[in-house]
Amino acid sequence: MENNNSLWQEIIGHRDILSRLKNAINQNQVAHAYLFSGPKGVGKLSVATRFAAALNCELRDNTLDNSPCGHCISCKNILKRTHRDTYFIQPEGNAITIAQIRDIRKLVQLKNYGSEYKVIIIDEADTMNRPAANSLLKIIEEPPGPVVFILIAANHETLPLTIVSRCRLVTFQRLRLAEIKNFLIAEFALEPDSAKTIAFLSRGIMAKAIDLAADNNFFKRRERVIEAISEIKDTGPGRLSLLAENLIQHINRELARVKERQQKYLDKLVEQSTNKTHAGRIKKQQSKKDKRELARLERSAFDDILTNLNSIYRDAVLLAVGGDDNLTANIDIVPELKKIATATGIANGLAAGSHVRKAREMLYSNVSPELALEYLFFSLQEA
Amino acid sequence: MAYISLYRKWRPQSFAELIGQEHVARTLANAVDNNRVSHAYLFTGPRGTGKTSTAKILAKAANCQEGPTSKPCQKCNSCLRISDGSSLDVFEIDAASNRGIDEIRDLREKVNFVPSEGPKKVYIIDEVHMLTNEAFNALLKLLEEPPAHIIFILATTEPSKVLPTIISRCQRFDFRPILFSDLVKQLKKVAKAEKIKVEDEAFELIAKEARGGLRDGLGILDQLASYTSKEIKATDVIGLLGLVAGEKINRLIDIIISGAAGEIFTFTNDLIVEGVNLRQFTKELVDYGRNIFIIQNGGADKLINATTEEIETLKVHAKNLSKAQTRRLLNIFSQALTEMKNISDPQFILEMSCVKLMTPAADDDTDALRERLEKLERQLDNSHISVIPAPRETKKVTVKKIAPAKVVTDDEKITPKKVINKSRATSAGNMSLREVERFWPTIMAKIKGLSLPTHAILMECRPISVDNGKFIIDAGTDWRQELLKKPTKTAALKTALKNILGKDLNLVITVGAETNKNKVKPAATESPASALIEADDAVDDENLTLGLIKNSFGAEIVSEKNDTE
Repeated sequence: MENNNSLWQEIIGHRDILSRLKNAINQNQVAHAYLFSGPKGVGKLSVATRFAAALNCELRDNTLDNSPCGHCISCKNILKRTHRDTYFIQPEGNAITIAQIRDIRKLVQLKNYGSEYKVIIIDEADTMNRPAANSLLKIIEEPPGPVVFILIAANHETLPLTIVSRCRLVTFQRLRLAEIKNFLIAEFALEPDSAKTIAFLSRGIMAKAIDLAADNNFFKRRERVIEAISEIKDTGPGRLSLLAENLIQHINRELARVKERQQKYLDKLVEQSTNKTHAGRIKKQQSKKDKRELARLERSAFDDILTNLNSIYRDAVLLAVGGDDNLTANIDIVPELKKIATATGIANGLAAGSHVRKAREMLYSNVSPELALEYLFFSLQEA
Repeated sequence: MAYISLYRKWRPQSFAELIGQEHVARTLANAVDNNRVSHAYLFTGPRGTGKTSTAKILAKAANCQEGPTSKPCQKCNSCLRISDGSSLDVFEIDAASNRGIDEIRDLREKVNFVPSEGPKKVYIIDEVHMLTNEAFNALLKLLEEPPAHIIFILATTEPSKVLPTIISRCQRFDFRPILFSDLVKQLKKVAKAEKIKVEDEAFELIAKEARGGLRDGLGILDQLASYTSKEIKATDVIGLLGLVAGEKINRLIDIIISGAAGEIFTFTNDLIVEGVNLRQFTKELVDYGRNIFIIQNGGADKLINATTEEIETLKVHAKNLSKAQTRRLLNIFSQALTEMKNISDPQFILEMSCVKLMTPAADDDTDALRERLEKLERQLDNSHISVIPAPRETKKVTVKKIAPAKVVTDDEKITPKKVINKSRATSAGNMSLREVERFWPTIMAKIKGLSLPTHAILMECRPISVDNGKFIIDAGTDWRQELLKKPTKTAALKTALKNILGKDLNLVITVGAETNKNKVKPAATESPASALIEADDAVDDENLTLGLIKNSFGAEIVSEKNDTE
């Protein structure tokens, strides 16, 4: 991080937002509450952290557009999340609770440890339950002292209007295709066509693009998905389950590898621990964490498959209604897409798209991934 | 000194300064002047309409050293201290964080002490809907008959969550969302006083986006002021709020009218390249659709949320879209909006919704059908199709096209012993394989409701024909035939048949010769013979359509032209 590039510059995209935040510092018009809203993984937290650093930087360089210096003690601490006047609030378990907000209330009353601003970053603010959100209302409306709240939410419309109306709303847009594409070409040395496909499938979300680009299995998995699509229409129910099963096994193999790695790490931890009780505690904690990671990976793997399916059907519809070849998401396999397009047609393509969306909704509402996928395949066959 | 947001700086300090709540301001001012201040008030209304501000003003009015007066002096000790929140007699309680019964018990104890400065002690309980049930009930007695020096003011955005027993003990005031024109007026006033230069159109955009909340409006103004030090233009507002310029919506509607579905993808691609927020776009598209809908149904112009210039284009669009199309636009895109909320894939959803809207043939929604019908009617009106009184001599229908397709029907392969009755009369007791298959899904759906086991067995069976009151079905295997012959299953099937086809039919369950194992449902699957079946289907469709037209319009066939070959 300590290079000549300013910390602002490291952010990809979001130029207008940065310039607004800079302006606010310049003109001494920093609001007491911000709401950063935008899809997950576009860089809201990165911007929030750097904004917090900029507010408190000891060596803020006005010539370098108010960028935090990145090497004074304050900046370093904020970036490491150990700063005394900057607080990162994250959901405990699934939600931000009223107890956490009550803690914030207390924090806010205290005097600062010598920094200019106390900054309270509430990540995933949309997970606040109703009591929590309501008890936040009064403090973010008129906080005592120089406090800056930064609420981060994937979608501000899921927050109560009463909260939104008290904050300065900063909406983060998805990154542009070219921004991601260029980044992928520069950082991952991808072919332009592959980079474009991944950039497209990432839907403008940098974190997703990086995940996809780092995943060697991506193109292999898509091949399987295409195989499945071409078979779906003319197989019996038995074979259909098998198709779903194949994809699931493909995922499970990947998960098994992760599991193995986790186990090794756990063993090492236990080995290193000093006594038995300690080992037991560590083991419990770590395996809980591992389990959560596995569940997350499993879900995101299924999500990727659905994204693939969705993009293929979308391309099929595009080609079926006579759209431009160059606008397809899977631009590297246009001939295959054309075959699918003629086989499915517009009506079925549209229906398939909505089935995929339904399956995804199922996935989000905790239906077992296997079940969701089988359901999807069966409804695709009927479509 | 930390910067104070405009909405905090511009909190109204007297009844006269309240915006858009004349009904509340007048009643309360009179109450104060006539010395009829009640002991409990409930202020309800959406965010940013002035509930908390009014509560503070009322506290001031009751406690001003000049008297109880509707025009608090703003100079005396009491007024000043209430303004900066340090008064000993005015308590602002955040019910959302102090929501338990213990807090209320605490309150009960303190209430009995007389005020230390003015005549009244005022408790402002904000966000009162968050109190727990027990806390509400503990408050009841206190609220009904508090000591004489107490005023309770409860404020909430969600009156529905407040117990009715609480509401009945309070004087209730409903705050209204602030009118568009009032918002603009107040924004202009604040901007002028704060020396922020703003274009007129920008004011309107801010007010539109504030949606009735003054705090929201001032918040946006605040943000814009720190955004640029020059004059604030409408484009700045659009950029800041991620609004979508109207021209984009116009273009999409033009594409929809033109019917070139391929263009959609170019269009969305452009949106993405320009960094437009697609959710916002869809939202505004629905708003626009609503405006078109209003015009098409003869609503007054003033109901429309748009500038005069926009209304002109709206009217053009309203003329070019059919009513059914507009309805579908509203339905499809409202649904798209909710989908976008749950799933972060706005581009797909938007594109698919557009294509769906533009291809009513791919949608079996009633409005889609109506749209197709309306289109037909329009074409009739424009006399693309002319209906001429029939001259006598041409009664003969050319069956040239039908005949060859008919001969090669695949039926013989499937059921060697059946000879399909070539009669086209659907209403008679005889139906061909094609016609039976047309009804088969409906029949199956009916059976599913009647008896699931029967349905399961029938999934693997195939209807063959209806011949002389007999419904012939191919069970495929012996054991299925056995199962189907059981009385319960037969009864279910018969009921379904009667329901759908409207008459009692006898069942004949056969086991067909040499069936292709993969080919379970001939209607749904592709097979080598599919091309032939397809051709047959087309012919059938045509005849059905002809029949329909004849029946509904009383038409006769004049002549038939074969325009394909």
